[in-house]
Amino acid sequence: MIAAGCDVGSLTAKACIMNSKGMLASEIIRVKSTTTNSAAEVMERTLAKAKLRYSDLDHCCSTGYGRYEIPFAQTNMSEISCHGLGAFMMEKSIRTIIDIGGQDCKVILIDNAGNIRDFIMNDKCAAGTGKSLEILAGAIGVDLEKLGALAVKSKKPLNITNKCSIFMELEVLNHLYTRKKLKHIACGIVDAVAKRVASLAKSIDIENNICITGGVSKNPGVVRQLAYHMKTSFKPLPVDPQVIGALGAACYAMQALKTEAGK
Amino acid sequence: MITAGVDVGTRFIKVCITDGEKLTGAACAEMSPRFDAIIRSLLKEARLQANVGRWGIHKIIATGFGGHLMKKAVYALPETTCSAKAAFFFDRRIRTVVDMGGLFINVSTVDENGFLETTHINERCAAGSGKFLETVAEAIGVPFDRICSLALSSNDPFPFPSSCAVFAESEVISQINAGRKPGDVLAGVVRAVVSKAASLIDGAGAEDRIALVGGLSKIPLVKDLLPELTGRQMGTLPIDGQLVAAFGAALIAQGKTVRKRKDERR
Repeated sequence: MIAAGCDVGSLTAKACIMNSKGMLASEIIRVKSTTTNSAAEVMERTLAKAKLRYSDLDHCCSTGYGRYEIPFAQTNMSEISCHGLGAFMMEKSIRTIIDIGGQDCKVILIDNAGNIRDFIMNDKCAAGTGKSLEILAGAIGVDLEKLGALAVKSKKPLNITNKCSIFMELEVLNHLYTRKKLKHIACGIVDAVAKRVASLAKSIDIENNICITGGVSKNPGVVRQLAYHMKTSFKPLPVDPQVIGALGAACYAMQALKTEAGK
Repeated sequence: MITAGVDVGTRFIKVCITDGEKLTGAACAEMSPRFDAIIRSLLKEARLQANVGRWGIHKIIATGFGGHLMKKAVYALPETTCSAKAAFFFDRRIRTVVDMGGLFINVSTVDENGFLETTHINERCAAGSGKFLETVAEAIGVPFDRICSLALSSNDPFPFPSSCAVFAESEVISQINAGRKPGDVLAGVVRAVVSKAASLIDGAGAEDRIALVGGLSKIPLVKDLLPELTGRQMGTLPIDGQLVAAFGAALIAQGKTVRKRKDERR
């Protein structure tokens, strides 16, 4: 039984293939011009990694922003369910998942069986998302990948008070013009993004253990500042936190296969 | 007396030189981290236009979001004060000044003597600002000066959700991919931007007449839509809307100001 999950987000597309024992392969690419193209490419690459063909896939479940447009998926699930199940499968003690993606930010609560109990999300405003980090990193001319490493060098984040990412950019530029040190600005940027996420998390009753998923969780600066603002620590996951959504989708596909086999 | 005003905005730096009666020299360039050098060259350009010698400028007042960054200025003033001053200078019937700039929409009301009464600003969020329009135009690939002609060509403006300026880009791309005409999307965005300003104007309880200044006032469609959406009269100013705040600063510099002593300047 081979099941696949495909998660096409706003900035990256993720795919994951698993059999009944566990994960076989996963892949992350930057999105292409259309959802269909991105889904096809990421799935082809993952299949190549797992040394499989399309015909080997028994069931595929799609998720993410473009989940209705993926031609090879039989079912689709919301990314909230997928992140919940994916994180739960990897670590059974997880009760809260903070997913910081490219264009939205969610806090998901699950029960001890991996079902969604409650969630809260911000998809109206770019503050506290990967896009906001990207803009602010661009404003100081630092690569997004290097921003986190630069930010953890500093212990004194510069204050950025605005809530809107575009006004934040202005404040960052102001710090830059007044010749502040780049590492302190970088730390201020990740701190500002973390503050937005923390304020979102505050409006829902979170429970331990907590994990972070999504692309932004790879930024050590954001993770450090978020842990500081939420006065907690995060449980590390054994897989790349960015593919958790795709993994959750694959788990749903596997469940569907198992119920079919049981009939 | 020859004075100058420097408006260090979020997107552009504007310099105006005046002799107290009219605008004699002006220059404008894009903002960048090397703003010191830019201001110097802009001042030179404006000085040459105004036929003023190197030491001919008596006083400089800075304004705008980066006004405090300029060292040569006597002091920095908020841009609302400056644009109100300049708008009232041109037309004494003006009671409201709407400044639609790069990131901020300022609505300031003035009394019959030209004194600033209240100011309202979009402080929370950049949705509906010039940046919003710029992001969309960039995503479509339309230069700023063609926005108006393209938007005017549309018969069926798409009701663009004026949500986050950051998300505007992806929203536009998906609309264009779905087969919508660029003109329709742009017309919708311009309408969203103007309606944002209109709601601020309503919130400010603005009175007739309105003067529209700032970079966005250079788009004729914005000028046409604003009276339509607010139901208020508009006054026209005889200079480029983008330069109004800098000109106001230069005008204020004409008045008596007490220069701070050197040891107090810090």
